[in-house]
Amino acid sequence: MRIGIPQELMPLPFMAWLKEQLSRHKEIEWHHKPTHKSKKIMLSEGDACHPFKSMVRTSIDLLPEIDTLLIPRLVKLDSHLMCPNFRALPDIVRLNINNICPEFAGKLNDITVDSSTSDEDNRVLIRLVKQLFAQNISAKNIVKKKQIPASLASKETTFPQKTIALLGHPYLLENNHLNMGITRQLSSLGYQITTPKDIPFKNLDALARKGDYYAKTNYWRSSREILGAFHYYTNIRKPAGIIYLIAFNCGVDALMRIELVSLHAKLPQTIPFMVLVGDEHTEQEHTATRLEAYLDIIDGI
Amino acid sequence: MIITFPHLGSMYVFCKAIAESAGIPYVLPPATSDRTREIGEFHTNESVCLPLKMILGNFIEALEAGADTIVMVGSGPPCRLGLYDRTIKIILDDLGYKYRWLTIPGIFNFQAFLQNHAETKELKKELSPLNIAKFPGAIMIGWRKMRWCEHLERLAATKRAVASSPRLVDLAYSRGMEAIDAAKSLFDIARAGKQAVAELEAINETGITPLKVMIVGEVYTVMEPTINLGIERRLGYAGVATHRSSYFSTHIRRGSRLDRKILKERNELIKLADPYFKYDVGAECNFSVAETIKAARDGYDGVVHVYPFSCMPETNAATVLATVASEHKIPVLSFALDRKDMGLRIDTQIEAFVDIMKMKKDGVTCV
Repeated sequence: MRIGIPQELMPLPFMAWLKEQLSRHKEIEWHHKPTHKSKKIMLSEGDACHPFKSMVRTSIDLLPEIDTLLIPRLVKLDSHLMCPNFRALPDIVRLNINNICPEFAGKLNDITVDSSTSDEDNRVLIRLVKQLFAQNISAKNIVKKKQIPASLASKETTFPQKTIALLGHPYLLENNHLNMGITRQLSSLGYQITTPKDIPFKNLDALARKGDYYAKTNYWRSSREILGAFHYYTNIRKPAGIIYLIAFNCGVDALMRIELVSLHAKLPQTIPFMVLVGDEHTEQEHTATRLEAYLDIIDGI
Repeated sequence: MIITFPHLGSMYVFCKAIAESAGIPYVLPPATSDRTREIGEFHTNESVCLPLKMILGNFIEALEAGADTIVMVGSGPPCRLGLYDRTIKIILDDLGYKYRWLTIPGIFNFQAFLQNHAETKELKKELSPLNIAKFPGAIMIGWRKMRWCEHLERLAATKRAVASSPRLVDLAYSRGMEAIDAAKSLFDIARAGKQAVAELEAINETGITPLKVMIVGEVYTVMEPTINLGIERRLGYAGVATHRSSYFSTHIRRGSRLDRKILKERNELIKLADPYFKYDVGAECNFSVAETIKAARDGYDGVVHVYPFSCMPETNAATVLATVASEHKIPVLSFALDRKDMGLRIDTQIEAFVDIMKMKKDGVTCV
């Protein structure tokens, strides 16, 4: 069976777990087309953030070579909400399929994921296996999500010299097309990179709780991950610098950016912090220039 | 304690009436202006939605004018409105303003109750028993005023399209709003309201059947004329009667969950949008789509969709509306609003939109 998942979704830990679990029940040929600029004219080319537009394009491009396009409707992961765009993503993809390639109309699977516990994740998997393979599986056969070693417990308070922490949505941190090649550029300049992926989400969530009060919890999962990581990198284990990658017009990051800049200004010891906003640029000179200036600051400290 | 509140359509009349009737000192923020927007823009960033920028500007102008307690309507996930107060507080704190904050919960749950308890603990000490005793009556006065204001808004939105001189509608409307705002008793409010309605109805009409448009979109953008650049007035001057379901009182009734009729209507609208959205995307997204479908069925000539640039739910609604427009054969004009210097562009788009609606009505087809 050939299943396609847009590559931009794969950096989400839930998606990696789902893929691994599905592979245990059936031989699957996975397809994740590399992100690229599709020539097809989509309905979703308005003012959405570019990772979202990219997800829609990749999804459409996958269709001719797969049996099922799997785009779960990610409402809630790890007890926290995803941004509204993830709720709408399957619908926007369906709309584009109907408009551009109606012959593939039946290929989309948009199972809803609204999970707060691993039991609920398991229930999603059981339903999905039933939908895709017409198989019944028991929760006992499901392997739990891999837990990252609790690195917060590490006694280290610094990273190796020349380590830069990157903050941002997982798809921005791991997709070179979406992050304008920042990770590649940093590596080529001799810097190591650390990201929130190296820290268990529950630890980041606990750190993010500092800013919550009553009903005013920062309710998006990605916000909590970014905020928690900022606290971690500024208070627990300090890198040489922090770069916050943002996709232009991301509503979640627009607010988080204000909070992080405010927190950074109050730090007793300054860690160079840069916000880098990217869009669908075809060249990378602008990021290279900013990066060079930023690294000059770090090297000068 | 000197309270203040943001501008949102005619909501200020409601808040002001409550403060005045209960004897609580208040500062009304200066009318939202270019300065208000520029203050908001300066202290945020390019991807923050326009309502947050405007509300922040309102608060800074009110604090500069002497207010010390901010009253803000709260909301919940998944859209950004639920985090406006958290973000605005961070900015105001960083700017060094001293203020207290009171959130009027958008959803009445246990957490909201705890937050309200914490926020009002100190404020209650500054209120006299007389202030508290006057409160139910003050809410009644505020509610009646708001309902009359909204009635005038509705009337003006349809009358402009048929008036010989739409300018006279604006003048009568402004006079009516001022009279309602100034009224001190329920009797005075009703008298001012009735007089304003009579004045509006007395304005001469052209006799031409106007085009009929439904305005849908994000709540704040639909209701606040300084944000939507007076879209209702601009359409009215172009001979288009406008209608909308979004009024401040509607949202209070929805939030309180007491009005069964409104809740039933909302559920029906969610079902109407189901062919396009299989899940509630959040805020007004599904309703923008549903109201457009309903407008097509109810014989409207077109739909105007307004939302702030970068609004996550409404961006998705705009995508879907492109399809809804062709499938339901109704012209839809979407405006992603941000800076204010786009009034002339809006006028040009409205002119073209009116031409399209007229052609469709007259059965003219393009080859």
